[in-house]
Amino acid sequence: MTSNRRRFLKSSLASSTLVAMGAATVPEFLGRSARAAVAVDKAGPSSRKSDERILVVVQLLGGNDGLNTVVPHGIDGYNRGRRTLRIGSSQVQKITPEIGLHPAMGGMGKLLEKNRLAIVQGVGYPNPDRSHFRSMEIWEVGRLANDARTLETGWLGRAIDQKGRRPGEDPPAMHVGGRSLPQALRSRHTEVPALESLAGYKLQLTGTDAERRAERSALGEMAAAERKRDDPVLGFIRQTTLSAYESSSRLEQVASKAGKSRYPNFGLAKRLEMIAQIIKAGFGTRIFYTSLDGFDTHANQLATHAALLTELSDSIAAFHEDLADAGQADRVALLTFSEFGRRVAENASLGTDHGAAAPVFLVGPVAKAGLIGAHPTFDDLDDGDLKHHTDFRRVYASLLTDWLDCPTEPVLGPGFNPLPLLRKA
Amino acid sequence: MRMASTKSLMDDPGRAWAPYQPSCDRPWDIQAVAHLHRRAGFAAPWGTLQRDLKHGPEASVARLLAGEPTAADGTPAAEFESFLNAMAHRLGATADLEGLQAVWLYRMVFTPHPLRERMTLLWHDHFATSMAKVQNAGLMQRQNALLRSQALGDFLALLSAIGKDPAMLIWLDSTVNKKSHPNENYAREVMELFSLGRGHYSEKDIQEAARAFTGWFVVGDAFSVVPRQHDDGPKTVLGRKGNWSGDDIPSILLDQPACAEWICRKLFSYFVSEFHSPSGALLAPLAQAFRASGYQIRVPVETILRSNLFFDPSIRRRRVKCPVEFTVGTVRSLEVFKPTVQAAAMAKACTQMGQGLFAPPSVAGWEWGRAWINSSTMLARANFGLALLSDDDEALGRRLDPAKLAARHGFSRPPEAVRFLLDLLIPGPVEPGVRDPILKAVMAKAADGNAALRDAARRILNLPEYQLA
Repeated sequence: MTSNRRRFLKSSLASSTLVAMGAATVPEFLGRSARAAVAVDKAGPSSRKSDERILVVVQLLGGNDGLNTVVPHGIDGYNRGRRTLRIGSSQVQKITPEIGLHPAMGGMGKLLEKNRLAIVQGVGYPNPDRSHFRSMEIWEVGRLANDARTLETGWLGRAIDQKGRRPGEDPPAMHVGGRSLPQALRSRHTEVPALESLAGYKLQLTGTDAERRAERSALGEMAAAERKRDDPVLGFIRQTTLSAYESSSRLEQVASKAGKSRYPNFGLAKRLEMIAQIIKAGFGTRIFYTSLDGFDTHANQLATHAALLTELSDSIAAFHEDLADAGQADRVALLTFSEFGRRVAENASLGTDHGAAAPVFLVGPVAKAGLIGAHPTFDDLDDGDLKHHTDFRRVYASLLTDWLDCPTEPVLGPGFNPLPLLRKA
Repeated sequence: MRMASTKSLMDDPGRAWAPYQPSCDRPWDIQAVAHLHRRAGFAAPWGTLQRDLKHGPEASVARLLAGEPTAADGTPAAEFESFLNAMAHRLGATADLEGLQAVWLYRMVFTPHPLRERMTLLWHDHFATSMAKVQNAGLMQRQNALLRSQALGDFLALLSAIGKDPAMLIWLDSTVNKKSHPNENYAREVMELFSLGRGHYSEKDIQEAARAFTGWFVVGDAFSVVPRQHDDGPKTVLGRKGNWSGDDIPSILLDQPACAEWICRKLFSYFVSEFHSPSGALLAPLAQAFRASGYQIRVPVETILRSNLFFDPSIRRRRVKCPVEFTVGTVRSLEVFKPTVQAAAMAKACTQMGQGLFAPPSVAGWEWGRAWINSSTMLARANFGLALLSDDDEALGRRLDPAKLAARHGFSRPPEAVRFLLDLLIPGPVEPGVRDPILKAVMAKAADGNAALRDAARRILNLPEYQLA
C-alpha cells in the first residue's frame, strides 16, 4: 500500500502538469487526482463510488395516524371508529376499492401511478409500547432488548459498523436537520455528522469567483505539492484533504447549476433538496436521515394532519422529480416510518391517541407498486389498536440486504426475512 | 535511517526513558520546544517558546508540571481558576451543552496549566460520559472538576471517585443497584475500559464485582448508599476473596499489573505516538514506576515528558491533532487573545470536526488517530482556519493579523514572517516543495504585505502537516 501510495503521489499529484495547467483548471485536476487515487490505491482510504445505492429515511415524529394516511374508507371498522375524523370514499385517492390515500397526498398518488411507491401495511412489532420515547427507541435501535449495550447503537449505525470503516472517505451517513443525532444513526465506530446547511460542506472562501477559485487552487497545490519523505500518515491526510476540497467543489458546482428551486416552501422539502444536492454532487454517503415533526395529533387533528401530509407528500414528490431529472432516481430509495400509528377509535377532542401498527412508505425503484400485505383487521384489535402482521425489522432486512448490501443478522439479529420490496440491482 | 533510529530507541526501554539530554540527534531547538508544548499542552505563543528555548528542557518541563503563575490573559492563576469555576457553576442543572463546551474551551485557551487541562481531556476520554443521557450541566461540570482535581494526581482516588460520580452512574444506567438485581454495567466498564482492558478479567469477576457495588444508588442527582440493598456476602474478585463492598474494588483492580500497563499504554499514545504500538517491554518501566509510586499519575507523565524518546525527532508528526488540540492550539499559537474568539463558535467547530466535548460517542470515548480525518471533518478544519483569517466571520474572524503578529515578534520582512509562522505552527522540518510556493506567493504580493501574510497563514493552517502533532 505504501508503495502504491508513493507511486500515486509521484505519478499524479506531484506531476509537473499541475503547474502547467494554471489556476483555473486546478479544481478539475484535483477531481481527477482523487479519482486516480482510487484507481491506483484500491485498498486505500478514500475509494469513492458515486453510483452506489442510497437510502433516505424520513422519520415522522409523534406517531402518524396511519388510518387517516392510507385510509380504509371501504371497511366498516374504520367508519365506526372515526365518526368525525372519517375521510370518505369520495375524498380519497383510491388505491383499491376499499383503500385510498389521504386527499392531501396528491404527490404520492402520482408516484403510485408511476410505479414508484410501495405501501407496506400493518407494520409494527410484538407487545407494542405506547410511549413515544420507548417506541421510537425500538424502531431506531431495531432490536427489542433494552439493556444498556443494545441501546448504545441504532440499526443504521450497526449497518455502518458492518460495512467497516474506511477513514478518509465521505461520511457513510448524514443526519440532515437540527434535531440531535437520532438513535438510529448511533454507531460504535463512526461519528455520523449532522448537516444543518450545506455551508458546512463547502470551503468558506471569500472574494470574487476568480479569487475563490485561485485560493482553492492554492490550497489544493499545498496539499498536492511534492514531499520527498515518504510518510503514510501524511499521505493519508493529503489524500483526504484533496478529496475534501473536491467534494466541496462538486457541491458548489451542483449548487450553481441548480437554478431556481422547484421544491415547495416546506422545511422537509428544503432538507430533501439539500440531500438531493449532495447525491447529485456524487458524494459517497449512502445513508441520509431526516425527520418531520408534529404527528402527535391528540386534538383537532384534521387540519393539522392534512397540512403535515401535504408537506410530506409534496416534498417527497419534488425530491423524486429532482432526482429523476438528474438520472439518479433509480439509486435512491426513501423510507418513511413513525414510532406508532394511532388508536382506531377517535378521542373526544377530535383527535386520536397513541396506537400501534401502521403503514410505511417506500419510494423508489420498488419491486411492486401499491399496497403490500393486507390492511390489519378491525375485528381483532389489541386494546383498541390495530395488530401488526409485518415486523418492521423485515422492512429493514429488505433495505439492508437488497439495497445497502449489508448482512441482516448482525444488525437485527436472526429470523427477519427480507420482503421483496425493491428491485435488486 | 530515521526509522532505524526510532526502532532502536523503542527497542531499548532503558535508553528510551532515560532523561533527555540535548544532543546532535535530539537538539533543544525551537522545534523541540514547540513539540513539547504541542504534546504536553495546547501549543504555545512565540514568547513562551522563546523563553523555554532559553531556559532549557528541565525548567520547561518543570513549569508544565507545576503550571504557570498567570493565565494567558495575565490573570493570576488562582483568580483565573475561581473565575472559570464560577462561570461553569452558573450553568447549573440546565441542559446547556454548548455552554459547558464553551467554558471548557475558554479555560483551555487561557489556562495557566495547559498540561493539567490536557490530562483532564485525557480523563474525559477515558471516563467518557455524555450529556446526551445525563442532561444536566451541573453534574457534567462536577465530573469535569473531579477529573481536573486528579488530572495529575492519584489514580486510585480518581477511580474511586468516578464510581460514585452521579453523571457517570446516570450515563451507565447504574443509578439503581439492588441486592436482588446487581447491575453489571459499571462493574464491566470499570474493568474493560477504566482499569484493565479486555482479556484481564472474567465474566465471573464482573458478576462478583457487581455484587460488591450493590446498594449504590443515585437519588435526586446525588450518590447515595442504601445499606439494606447491599449484598454483604463473600465475593471473589480477581482471585481475592472477601466481603467486598464497592469501596474495595478499585484497589483490587489496581493490584493487577495489567492496570498500570493499560493506563501507560494510553499515556504513550497520548504523548508519544498514535502510530507505534509499544511493546510490553517498552511500557514496563513506565508501568513499574507508576505502580511503585502508588499510582501517582504525575510519575509516568513526568518520565515520558523528560525522556529521550519524547524528544526524539522520529516521533514528531506521529499524532493526529484532535479537534480540540487543533482549535485551541491555533488560537493560542496565534495569540488570538484580545479579543479572543467566541468560545461557543469554537465549540460548534469542534463538534463539526467530530469532537463534541461532554458528548463523546460512547463510554469507550473517541476513536482518535486517523478516525478524526474524513472529508467532512477536513472541511470543518479548513473552514475554522478560513474563519479565523476572515473579515466577515463575527464569531471567529476579524481578530487576527498575521503580519502584525510576526512584526511584534521582530519579523517584519515577509519571508522572515513566513518562516516565523512555519516554525511556530508546523512540526518540522518543512520540505522545500511546501515552503517555497508559500514564500514565492508572498514575494509576488509584497506590495500588500498584510494581505500576503494573511494568504500565507491561510495556506499554512491548511497544510496537511498542520493536522499532525
